[in-house]
Amino acid sequence: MRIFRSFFRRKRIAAQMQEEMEFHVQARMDDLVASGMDPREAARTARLEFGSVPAYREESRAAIGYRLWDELRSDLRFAARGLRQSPGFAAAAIAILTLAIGANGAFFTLYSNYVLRPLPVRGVDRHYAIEGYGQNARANARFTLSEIDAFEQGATAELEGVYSAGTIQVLVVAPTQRQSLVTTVSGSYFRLLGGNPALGRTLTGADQREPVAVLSDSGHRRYFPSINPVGQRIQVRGTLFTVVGVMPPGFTGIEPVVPDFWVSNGMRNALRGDALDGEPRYALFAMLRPGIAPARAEAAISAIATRFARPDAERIARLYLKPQRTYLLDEAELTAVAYIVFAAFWMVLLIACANLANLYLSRAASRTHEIAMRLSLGASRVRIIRQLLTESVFTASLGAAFGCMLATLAVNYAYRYAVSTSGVGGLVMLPLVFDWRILLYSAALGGAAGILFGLLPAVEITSPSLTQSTKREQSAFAGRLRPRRLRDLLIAGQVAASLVLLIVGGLLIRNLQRLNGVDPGYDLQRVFDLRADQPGAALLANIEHLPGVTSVSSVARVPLYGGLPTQPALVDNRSILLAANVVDQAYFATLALPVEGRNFTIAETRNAAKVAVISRKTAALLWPAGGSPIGRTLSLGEPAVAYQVIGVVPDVISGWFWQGKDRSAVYLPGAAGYNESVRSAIVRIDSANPNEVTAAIRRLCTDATGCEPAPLHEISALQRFPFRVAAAVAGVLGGLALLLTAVGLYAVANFSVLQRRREIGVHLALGATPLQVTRRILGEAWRCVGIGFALGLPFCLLLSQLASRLVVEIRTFDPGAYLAVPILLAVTATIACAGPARRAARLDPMHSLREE
Amino acid sequence: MPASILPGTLDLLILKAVSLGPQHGYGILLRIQQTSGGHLLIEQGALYPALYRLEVQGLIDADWGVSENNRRAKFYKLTAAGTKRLKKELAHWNQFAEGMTLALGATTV
Repeated sequence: MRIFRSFFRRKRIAAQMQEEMEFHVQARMDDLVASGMDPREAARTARLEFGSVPAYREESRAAIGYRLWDELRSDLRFAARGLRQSPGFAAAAIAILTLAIGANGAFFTLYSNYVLRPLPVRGVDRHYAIEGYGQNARANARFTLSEIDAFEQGATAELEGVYSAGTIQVLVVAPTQRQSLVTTVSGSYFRLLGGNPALGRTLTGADQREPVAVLSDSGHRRYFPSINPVGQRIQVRGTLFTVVGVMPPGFTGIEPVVPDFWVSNGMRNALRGDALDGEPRYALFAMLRPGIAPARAEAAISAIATRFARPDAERIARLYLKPQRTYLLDEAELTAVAYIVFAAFWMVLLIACANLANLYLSRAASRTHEIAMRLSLGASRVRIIRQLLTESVFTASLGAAFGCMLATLAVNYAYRYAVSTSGVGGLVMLPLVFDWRILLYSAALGGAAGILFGLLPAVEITSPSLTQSTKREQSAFAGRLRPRRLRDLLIAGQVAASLVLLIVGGLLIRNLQRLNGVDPGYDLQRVFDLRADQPGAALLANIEHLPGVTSVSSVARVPLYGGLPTQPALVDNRSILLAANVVDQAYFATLALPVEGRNFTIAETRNAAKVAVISRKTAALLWPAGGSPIGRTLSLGEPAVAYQVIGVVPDVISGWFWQGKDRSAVYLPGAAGYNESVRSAIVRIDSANPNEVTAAIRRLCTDATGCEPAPLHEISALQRFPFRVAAAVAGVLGGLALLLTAVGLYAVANFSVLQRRREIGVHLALGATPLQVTRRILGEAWRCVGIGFALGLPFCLLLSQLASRLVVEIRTFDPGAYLAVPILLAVTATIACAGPARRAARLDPMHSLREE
Repeated sequence: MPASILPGTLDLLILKAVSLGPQHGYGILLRIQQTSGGHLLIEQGALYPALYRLEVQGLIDADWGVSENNRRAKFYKLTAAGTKRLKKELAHWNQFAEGMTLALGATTV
């Protein structure tokens, strides 16, 4: 708007200037006529006396500061003409910038969508996540249903309400069998977020124990594509949920994944039976009343929370409200990671800039004559620098525009690909929105890049030392241009940056490989998650009799679905948190774990005997003094129940791969059909053709409520997904950096050979062999690469030290990466410079000396 | 034969002329010629860049009005800052002129 206004003001002022000067001439003419001059003579005299109207108008415009504008216009014309004159050069520059800015724009699109764009809910600026801390600053931010009620009733003046929401993956049995995402919510969820149904109604507090569901728009299209779904049923495990409403496409909740449907929190156990005994707890979000300061609301809910009746270990000391206006909370850890990733992407842009600065320097060297001429004709240095900068910023703007387009294409493609290979079935991600933030960001990057790569060549080429003589000779030995050293330095910088990117990428890939190679303690290919709906003992027995099935075990929590739930334990009067699972007697055989001591008996699993099998690490944790733990007792749970340790098993990974083997694992006896929490099963298939076996299992399940056996390998792929994405991104960036550096090296070598034709010719004429010339050109390239290594390596080490603080399980020094990357770069440099070097060696000395 | 003015003195002349009362560009020119007794020669067009510069500096203010012969014209008047500046410049000029006269009129050391 302001630009428009100032544009129109400019027009008006120009008109006024014209009018004022015309008035002057007219008045002068009148006076001359009045003094007796002939009118035609008077008009001529008046104009003559005034002087050139356009010239004075120009001067007047300069006086009020419009000169910059005017000059900018002419500079832009100059820049466009320059680009048209050398289309090849322009295309190369724009292509390089398109790649670099496109990559940056693609990442920023993701960042903007998750971290910057406000959530699509009502009253988003009053939307907060509740965070709590107990003793020792331990995060403690989950609340029971009665505690949630206490918040709602105790802080009505401050809060419009609180709600909880959590998304889980479940196996839907009917109308079609498929994996689905379901969000369980409290009754206040839809009301607080301003969700109005497109059909039927939403969930309310009265639905807490009712098997009713509200479909999302995508869920509607998925399960009931052609009918009104209200009144239809969706079966999950043994429960039939009645659809009571459908939400419009615009309501997708507060997560970037769109659930197929929403059900009440109270029905969570019907969806997934992995909860151990004990009251479920929920993460909470609060909607403040308009105009309430967060600090006041914090004080109010903290006062309520400190009164909760909780065991000492879980007592809440203080609650905090964290604004949640975007999909991802703006947390310190996220910010740190985002900065590192941003830095990596910027580095690619920096490499591109160094590259372009090089290209411009090379080109500028051939323009020194023109520029020296203009300087001697009275153009100011600043003015010429500005003109050159306008040209580079103009080029960069074109690059930014194309980069923007590339970003939208690339990011959507990459995003869809990543989601489809994530291993999560039935995932509906929100489409990425391309908005003004991304445009602004790309434009800013373009502007910065233009100045960055334009300034150095512009300053360099207009420097007095170069332009003292307009007749500067491009002779062989006088041609020791300062830009050459500058170009070498730029190339070294590029090599250094590529080195950093490639090594980081290499480290990530090596770590991914390492993660792939981590032994969970059991065979990921042979152990299958049955993924059945609360399998009964009879079904499990039938499956066990199938040929190829070695063992079947019912279990509360199948491994690799995140950390095992923890329970407070009391051992020798020491309080400690232990991870626990409930399994039957076949569990250890299914995972092929030897049991020291003895295993559970069938009777023990059926009557939930007070015995426990623990992992070795748990034994060391509980009884650090050593000695066999068998026969000792530990108290677990709230209220505490004493269990006698009867066996010890090796450590395995039950939770997250990157956290390594379970720090603690207590296995308690339980069996399907006898224990509420034992609702899942794992199967060991030892067969040459596991697909046949799983097909047979599926057939058996159809009598019950269906199942989808999947090897734990598939589940673990899901865990590795973020690492795969990181490695892929680092790989792409590293590749881009390598490509740009190769192009840069080629350009510099090529240019240097071109410029030093005579010097090389003299060398050859004086008896240098072609091999010596080749070696000399390559040697120069290698020197740049060497300087780049010296600059880059210390930075790499520093960076990986930082990274290791963020992700514990990452190995930051890998001889493979540190060795392979420099070799790769050196080879790339050699290949890039081989062409120019060969051309130099083949120069005909007589020919090149006679030139000019 | 009128003399060309010294470089840098046009601004002072304009300020002085405007201080005698609001006037348009051509009027300012006439006023300077009149008050200088026709001794000073001003390039007419050069008046305008100077006027715009002074306006941007806030020393004079401009308003569109109607001239004596009923045409639309831009009238300039002195601002408070202009008055102050004029005073300062005048003092400076007087000192300069006095010094010049003395130095050039000297016959013995």
